[in-house]
Amino acid sequence: MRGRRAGGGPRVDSRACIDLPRRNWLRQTARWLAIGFVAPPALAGCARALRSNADSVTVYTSVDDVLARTVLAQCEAATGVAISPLFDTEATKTTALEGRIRSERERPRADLFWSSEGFAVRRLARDGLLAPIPEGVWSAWPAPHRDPDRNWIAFAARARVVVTKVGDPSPTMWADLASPSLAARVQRPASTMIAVADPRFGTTGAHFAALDDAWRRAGDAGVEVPTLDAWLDGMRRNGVRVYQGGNAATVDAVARGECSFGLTDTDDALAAIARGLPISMSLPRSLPEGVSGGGTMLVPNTVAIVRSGPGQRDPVERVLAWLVSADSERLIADSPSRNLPLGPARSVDLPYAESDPLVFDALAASERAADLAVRAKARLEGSAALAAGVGR
Amino acid sequence: MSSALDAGIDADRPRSAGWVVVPACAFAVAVSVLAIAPVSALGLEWLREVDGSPSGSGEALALPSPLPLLLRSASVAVAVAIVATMLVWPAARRARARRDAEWRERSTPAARAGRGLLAVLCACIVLPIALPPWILYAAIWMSTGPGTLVGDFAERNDLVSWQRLAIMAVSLVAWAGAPAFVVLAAVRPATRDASLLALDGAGRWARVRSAFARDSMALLVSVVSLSAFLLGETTVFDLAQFSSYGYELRTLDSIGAPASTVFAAGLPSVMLVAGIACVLPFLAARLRGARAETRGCGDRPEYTPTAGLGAWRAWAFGVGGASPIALAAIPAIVVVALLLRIAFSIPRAGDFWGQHGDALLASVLIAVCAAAVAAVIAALASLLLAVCSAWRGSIARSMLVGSLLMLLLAGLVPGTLAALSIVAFLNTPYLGGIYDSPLVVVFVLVMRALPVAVIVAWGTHLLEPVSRPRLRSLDGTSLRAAWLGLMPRVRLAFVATAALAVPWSLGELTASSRLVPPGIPWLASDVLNAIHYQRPETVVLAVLGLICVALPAVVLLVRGLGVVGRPLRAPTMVALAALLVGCGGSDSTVADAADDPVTAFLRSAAPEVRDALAVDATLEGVGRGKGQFNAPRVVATDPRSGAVYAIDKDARVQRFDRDGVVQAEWRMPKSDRGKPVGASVAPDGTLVVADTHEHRLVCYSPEGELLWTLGGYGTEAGQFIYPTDIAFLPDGRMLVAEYGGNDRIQAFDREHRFMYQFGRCGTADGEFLRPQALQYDAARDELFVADAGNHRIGVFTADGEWRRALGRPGAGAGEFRYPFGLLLLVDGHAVDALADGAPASGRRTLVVAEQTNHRIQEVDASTGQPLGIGGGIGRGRGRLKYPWALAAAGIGDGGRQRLAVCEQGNSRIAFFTLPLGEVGGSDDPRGGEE
Repeated sequence: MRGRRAGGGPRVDSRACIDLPRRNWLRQTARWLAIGFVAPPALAGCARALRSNADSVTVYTSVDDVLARTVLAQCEAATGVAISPLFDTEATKTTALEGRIRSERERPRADLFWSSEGFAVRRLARDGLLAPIPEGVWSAWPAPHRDPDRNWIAFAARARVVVTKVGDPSPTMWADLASPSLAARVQRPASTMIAVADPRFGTTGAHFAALDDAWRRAGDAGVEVPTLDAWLDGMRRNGVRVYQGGNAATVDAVARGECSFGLTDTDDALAAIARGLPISMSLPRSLPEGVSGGGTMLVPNTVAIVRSGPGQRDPVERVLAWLVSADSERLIADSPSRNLPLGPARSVDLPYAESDPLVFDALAASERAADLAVRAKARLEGSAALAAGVGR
Repeated sequence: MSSALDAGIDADRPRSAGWVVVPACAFAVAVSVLAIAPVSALGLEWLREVDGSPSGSGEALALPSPLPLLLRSASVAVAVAIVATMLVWPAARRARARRDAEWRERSTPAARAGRGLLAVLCACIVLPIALPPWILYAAIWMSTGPGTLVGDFAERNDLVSWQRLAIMAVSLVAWAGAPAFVVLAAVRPATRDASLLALDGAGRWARVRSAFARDSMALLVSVVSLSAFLLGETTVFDLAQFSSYGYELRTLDSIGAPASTVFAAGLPSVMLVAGIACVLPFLAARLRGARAETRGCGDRPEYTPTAGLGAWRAWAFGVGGASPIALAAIPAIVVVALLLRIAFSIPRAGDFWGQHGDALLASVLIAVCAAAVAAVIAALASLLLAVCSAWRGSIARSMLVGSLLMLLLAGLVPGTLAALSIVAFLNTPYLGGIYDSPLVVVFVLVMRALPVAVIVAWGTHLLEPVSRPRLRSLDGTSLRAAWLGLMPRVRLAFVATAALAVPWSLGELTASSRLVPPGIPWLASDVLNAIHYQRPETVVLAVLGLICVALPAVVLLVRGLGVVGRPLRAPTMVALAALLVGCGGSDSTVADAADDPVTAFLRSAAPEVRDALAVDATLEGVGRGKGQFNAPRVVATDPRSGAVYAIDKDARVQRFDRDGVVQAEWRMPKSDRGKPVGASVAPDGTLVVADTHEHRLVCYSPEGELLWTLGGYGTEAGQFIYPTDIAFLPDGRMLVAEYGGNDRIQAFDREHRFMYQFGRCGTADGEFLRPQALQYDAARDELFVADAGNHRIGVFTADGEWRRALGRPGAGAGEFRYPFGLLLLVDGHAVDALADGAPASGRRTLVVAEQTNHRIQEVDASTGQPLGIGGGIGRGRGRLKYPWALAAAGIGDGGRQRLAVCEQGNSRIAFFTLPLGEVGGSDDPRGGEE
């Protein structure tokens, strides 16, 4: 009968170490010494290999990583400037990167912040965390899409949309989502009617803040619109679910039939449609027909220079200049994201159009968005403690 | 006799281990400080906040009702731990029985087949340990979407929310079952009750009760430790839309709450894990105590009823008895099957390496570093535990146990708190260098892997055969004897921790994604985004890569359990080969019919090109080996020798002969600031490299000997900013193009003395935006400049007099987008290649490589009229992706000019012959740009 070692038992048993030959002792000691000598240089080598380029420009971006990678690669090729990007996950997006820039205010690591929406840069500018855009780049951009104080430039916009299952009717107004008759419109309503991304992240909170501002102004002017509180309550009554994982999760929920309506952005909707998911998208109006500036909300990308970033000024400005160039906007418009160019003299063929985008006080909305988002989530989920008074 | 022996040994132990008091104390202090310092830094921040003024954060920045959330998360964690443990417990018992059974010793084919099957089943149970639970979730979720049987059923019956929860439960149980199986299968039974009861013919339930009583401590250890690990999990709950404590903590941090607020919100969980950290050693001690009761018989194999059975009956017993193992392996088998199903349903794996190769490499490197550190900690802890075990009540032993508790505590705090702790600890002026480097990720991964290290170290202590310490003591009291005696367990602790910590680190997301510095791609983040955006090809290939990385850990665990021996090798190798073939095989399919998302993305922005290039050879292969490239951007040829030089983004210069064989290779002297983007072969056969990011020229002999350098950073005459290309004129002049705000061309004489310069940065005639390539026609005194940023070819005299521009921006015929490569032909042959120079007569044409139109275009050098177009984006033969440079490469079939083009995007150099496709083959519906 063979010994236990031969069967693959606990192999360590065999080395009971009594009378172990000296050469084995030497060999094993040498092995450990080798590990000791090799590991530190290997670690140092890895650190060196992974160290980012000293001359590079660091870009924090909340844009979908595939799109951002491609655009930044083109930017590198065009400007010759090496770019070190930092992405965040789809779930946390702009909010997390904004928080990161704030937490690094004593030792900034970002040179540029390329945000997928427009509120974060306004808040960062308010807190003095941004540096002015070069005059040449700033003045060349259309005035409606740049900060008067030269803190940021907006480009390549998406639109807020509603996705539904193919064949289901789409709402024509955002207010329709709170209508008691919503379920009657759907062929086979799901138990949860509406999918909303966690408003504390990304564009959903910004959208709520924009609607709040626009509806409040319209209400003051005598236009018949709901208040944000009433709208949120109406959606809760219809059945709403707040999704972790951003707007892509709401599209997924509608495609799988978990919800009948999903609030999302054009890029997520179009990407899903391109993948063959059975959904369609519509651009509901925020204000009634005939009220100017009452279409759906446009969500532009924004880019800003982080104050006291580690990079040299010249390459940072060149990267920024390229990002807000016609080439960049065209690339993004031609991408699966299909963003709407905002720069001069750009005309592209997009599968959607918003000729009358929502007009609202973006600065005021951005100030309130974070607080409002927390309360809106609580209100949608029926939590009374934090939900009181979402809209002013 | 045994007790007498023990007494003698115990009396001898303190002397034999006296040498270790100092290192034990030093280890305890150092590791405790390192582990607990970050958490302490965060705690201090919180205390300062509490003592000082109110934080000012409103209600929005507070965690609503943290205790119910924590209880909810903890309940799920405990429930999953219990289910997983109980599910694999019968399997683990069977595995233990098989380990000691006689039938495994048989060498008949049937027995070998049985062992092989058992090995595969055990590997399947253990496999999920290599994958984070959120990836298991994604694999099932993506496989049960709309259009599938399960997906449609769930949708029809409005059960999608339940589908999410069910998948979450399956993935968590599958994941938790793996470590539970390892723990339970590794623990050797303390008594022979089960065997004796079996002989007595006792009832099934009596045997189960007896087995439960015997394994109760091991089961408890498994449940408690798994609960602690699951409590820290966040991402799988996010994907399943299950509100968890970890998610709210992370949200609090993301929306800008001060670190102290997050710490305060996370304090209950810290206290909970502190409790767990204190309970685990107690349970471990009980487990060891239970084993100690059976000293003298604990290492004997159990009785098995296969003794005396024939070969086939033994095989039937073996396979039939393995049914609990098969049952426990089902979740993992399902997941792997679903992954493979997705993998085979993808028409083309696509450019995974191009898109995520860096992330995979960087993540593996970082994970290996973190695992190495964790393994060293585990090895030291195992060593010191062995030595200090006899020192009850001593300071060294107390300090060691205390330090292990600290390690457990530091490792088990929620990921968000761990990340914030590191920020508070390292994001300071003194330690900022670490915070800004990838070492910060290594740091946090080590912190997160500490529980693995501690449990493994404790495991080596607990599971060591009880006879081993006594045998060690017989070796004597010398340092050498002690070291040799402890070597097996120390080595086991090191290897097991390293093998486990690598996949564990690769799947860590909550803390690492919060800390990963800019420019460092992190695979887990990429995969999570791919899950969100439903990019199955990325998810599947990343997962298969992770499995490949983690296979050693799986093999080690299964073999370490002693369930099976050598037969594991064959199925493992087959599985590994299948995975590699699966990855590589799909990648080798380069049909243009189906694109990966990146190529599809680029295709949407690039013009359609009908005709591929007439490629007759390629130099390709991504890597750092000979003949391989990492995104080559420079190609230059020597028309006399036929040598081809290529420089890639590793700053590596390679010289190939006519047959594509590497003749020499070397690296640029400096490359940390960037890599060269241009080079030319001088008339004397030397290679002059535009060392772009070092702002100078560097000249090499063909063998790689550095001959001279020229210039340095600056805007003065003779200085450079980002030089791009060099042209040599027959009269000895050398023209150098550069950009970076310094966009101009400088001329030098034979002695490299500055002569003159022309051009400046701008878009007007005679100005440049990144002059990228130069070609000179001596017979007509025309210098052609690929003015990349202006999307045109500028034509000058050698003295700098402006003549004309060719082309305009756009994607149509005769238009350019970032012309990077340029080659002048006279009557279809390269000027460089003409032995006696270019004749004054003859038709001049320019071949242009357009970087972002992904094509090659031939235009008339006088008028800019397009003559031919070829290439187009893709990976297939004759297609291009980010072409950079062009060079003449001899004469091809039919006496036609042969050219070399290097493609950064495809990491290859393609050799093709003219002519290109017809101009009508290019079709851009958008037309040209303004």
